[in-house]
Amino acid sequence: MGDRVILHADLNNFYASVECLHRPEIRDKPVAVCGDPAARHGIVLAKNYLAKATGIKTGEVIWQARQKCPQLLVVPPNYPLYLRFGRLARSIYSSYTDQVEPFGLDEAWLDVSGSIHIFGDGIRIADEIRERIKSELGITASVGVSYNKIFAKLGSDMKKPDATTIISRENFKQVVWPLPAGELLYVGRATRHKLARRGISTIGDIAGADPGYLRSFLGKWGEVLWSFANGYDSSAVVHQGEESLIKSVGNSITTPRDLESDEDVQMIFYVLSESVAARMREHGFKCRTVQIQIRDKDLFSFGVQGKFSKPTYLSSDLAEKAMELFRINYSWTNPIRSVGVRGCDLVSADSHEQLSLFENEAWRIKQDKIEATVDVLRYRFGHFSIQRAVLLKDNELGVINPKEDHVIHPVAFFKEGRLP
Amino acid sequence: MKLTIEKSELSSLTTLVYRAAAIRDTIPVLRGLLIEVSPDKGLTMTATDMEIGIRASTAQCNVLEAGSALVNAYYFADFIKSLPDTTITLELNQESSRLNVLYGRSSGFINIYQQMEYPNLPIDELKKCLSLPQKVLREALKKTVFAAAVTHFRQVFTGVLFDIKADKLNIVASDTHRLAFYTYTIDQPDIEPHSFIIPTRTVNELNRVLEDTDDTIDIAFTANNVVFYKDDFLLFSRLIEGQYPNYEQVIPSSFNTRLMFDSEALIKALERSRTMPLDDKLKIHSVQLNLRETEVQFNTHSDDMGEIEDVIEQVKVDGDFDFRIAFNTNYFLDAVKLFASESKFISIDLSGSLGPSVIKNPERNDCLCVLVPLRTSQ
Repeated sequence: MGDRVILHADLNNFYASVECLHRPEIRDKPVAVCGDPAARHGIVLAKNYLAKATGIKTGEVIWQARQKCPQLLVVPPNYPLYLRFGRLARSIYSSYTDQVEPFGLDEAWLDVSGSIHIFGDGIRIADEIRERIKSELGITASVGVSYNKIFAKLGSDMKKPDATTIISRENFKQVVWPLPAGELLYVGRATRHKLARRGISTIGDIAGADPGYLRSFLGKWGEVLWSFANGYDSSAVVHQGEESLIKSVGNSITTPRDLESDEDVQMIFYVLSESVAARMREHGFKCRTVQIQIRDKDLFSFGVQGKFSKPTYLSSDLAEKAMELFRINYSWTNPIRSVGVRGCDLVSADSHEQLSLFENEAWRIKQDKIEATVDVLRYRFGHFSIQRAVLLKDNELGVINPKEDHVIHPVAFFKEGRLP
Repeated sequence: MKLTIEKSELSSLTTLVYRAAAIRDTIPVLRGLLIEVSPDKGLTMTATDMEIGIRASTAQCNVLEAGSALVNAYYFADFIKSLPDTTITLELNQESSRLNVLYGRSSGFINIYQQMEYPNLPIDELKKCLSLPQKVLREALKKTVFAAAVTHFRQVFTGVLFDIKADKLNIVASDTHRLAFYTYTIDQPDIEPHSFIIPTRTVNELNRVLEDTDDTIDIAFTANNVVFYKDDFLLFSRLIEGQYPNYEQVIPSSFNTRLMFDSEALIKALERSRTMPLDDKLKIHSVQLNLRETEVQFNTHSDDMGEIEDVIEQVKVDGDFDFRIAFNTNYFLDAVKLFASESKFISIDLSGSLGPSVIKNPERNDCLCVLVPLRTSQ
């Protein structure tokens, strides 16, 4: 079999690019997307090229960045928007192959080996993807083309923005090997220091080293890095859908103030259940079991679960069952600090639902429509355009929006921590 | 204790009784089968796990010496079943604690249990309340028990409800997705309204002894127990505790559509539909009916395997048509089979795509099956 053709697409300065796209007035200024200093999240998450030129680095605290660039514009992150752009980019990728493996929000690998006879070679596909991202999304991407995932990712990092880089069996020794070791996936600061102390500073040095020697001070990772550096990585690009086998959908929250009564807890259960239910609907799931997680002021925590008589994605079902479980299992020895609700035992919402004789099915069907309508209203007019009346009673607890505060962490390169 | 008895007689008595014994139990005597011999009653056998209990007797034996013995029920039944057709002698040897079984020139023995702790069936304070022809009870149970749930977190749904009100006995079973209903007019003017729920296991044991005759079987009960009894036979059972939901309310009384199917054609179509394997998406066998003016199209679909479009012509359609309704194929077939053997036609009453339907023999009003449709995602 011939070599695989792997693409790695990286959306340039993703958060900052999306912000600049949505706010024309800031496009020509140095911009950094930063977390909320009040919540102690005040670090630079992304920056545009003007900000980058002043030496600002991702991960710096805001005041450090300001020292380098006093006129820096700091904007808060808008995750739902980034999620949407991530999805839009992925839908462009999926028109070329079903093997699309996202790596975080802004990066993805594509295995186009099977599609080159339809769309042309890897370079053509890469250029076309860049063109489409520019014209359809209004942001730019760098794409690396290679015969394995590691080199493809290195390629996408080499020329930015809006460029295609090819790393082939013929040129990788000239292109990849002079790069500093730290560029290689999974060479973090600790590993870099360990390598540097032994005089290994480039990827070429790693490739040239004896794998047994690397193993002696890096453990199993030594051999893995050696195979990465030599282009021997053969890990597959996961098929779409496979990469995110969802087992459960849950939200939890440490509340702005301690909860002291059943009413408080019920309010939070409604807030969390609405988010969990909306996310289940979004992904096309119903759950058969709900779990609650309670942690009190002294950090004592416990979880219990209960089964539904049939699968559901209704927030009212989740919240009521959660409350029932809570009432049975908690006796208010302490105020509560954090609460979680999780739907598990998921089934496809697509399947037929067996109606029941002894339940009020007409009410359920109506409830279904109500919640679907709420989804649409929130999609168009924002989360707080429609609220349960019970949440209006408390303006501290009622204003939480766990669905959109839900942060997606990048997935690991190796699934479930396994080594190849 | 000593008696002689024909193998067939001994074997059928044992078979009737032994299943009431416990298969495994912390109290060993509950695994036992109590054999009692007396000159006036002949041979009597009793087994119970305290959930149900069965006692049966036969006079067709030759009692040589009265007495009793307790043996392991399952082993004794297996052994007796395997004996040749001949006269068998059962003889207790007290000194060696053995029950000797002699058949022809061969013999065996079974070690007996200590009999002191064997419980009495709690049947003393029962008072008779109801007599039914055996064939009525037999039909009533056969036409209802299938609808009970095998397991359900509400235990009442794992049993069959007997509901006596005025001059009616209603027998009902449901797993919440379907409900089978049977009603019988009793001519006992003094009877008090009462209801109780018996476990399906009891129903299955009862079905084994009910005969297709007008001879009656008597029913007696207390708050916790019920006893069914006739000559030489008695079945005791614990009742399922709990409140049965209002079943009358969920049997629909009006409809928008009545379909009249040829029984044979309907069964064939449903059996074909059921051959479709399940796929990951649809985890239950389902069939969708598409109602036209004079025919009904049965649609079965699996993403993985394929599709069947069955058209049953010459269906009599009264009322609304041009809509679709989906059912669990197995539930549907269970209900249809109930009536197909006794009637050339089967009627199905519907109220739109989501309302409960009623399946029955159009000639009978004493027996029906309510079936709730599936809600499809389209």
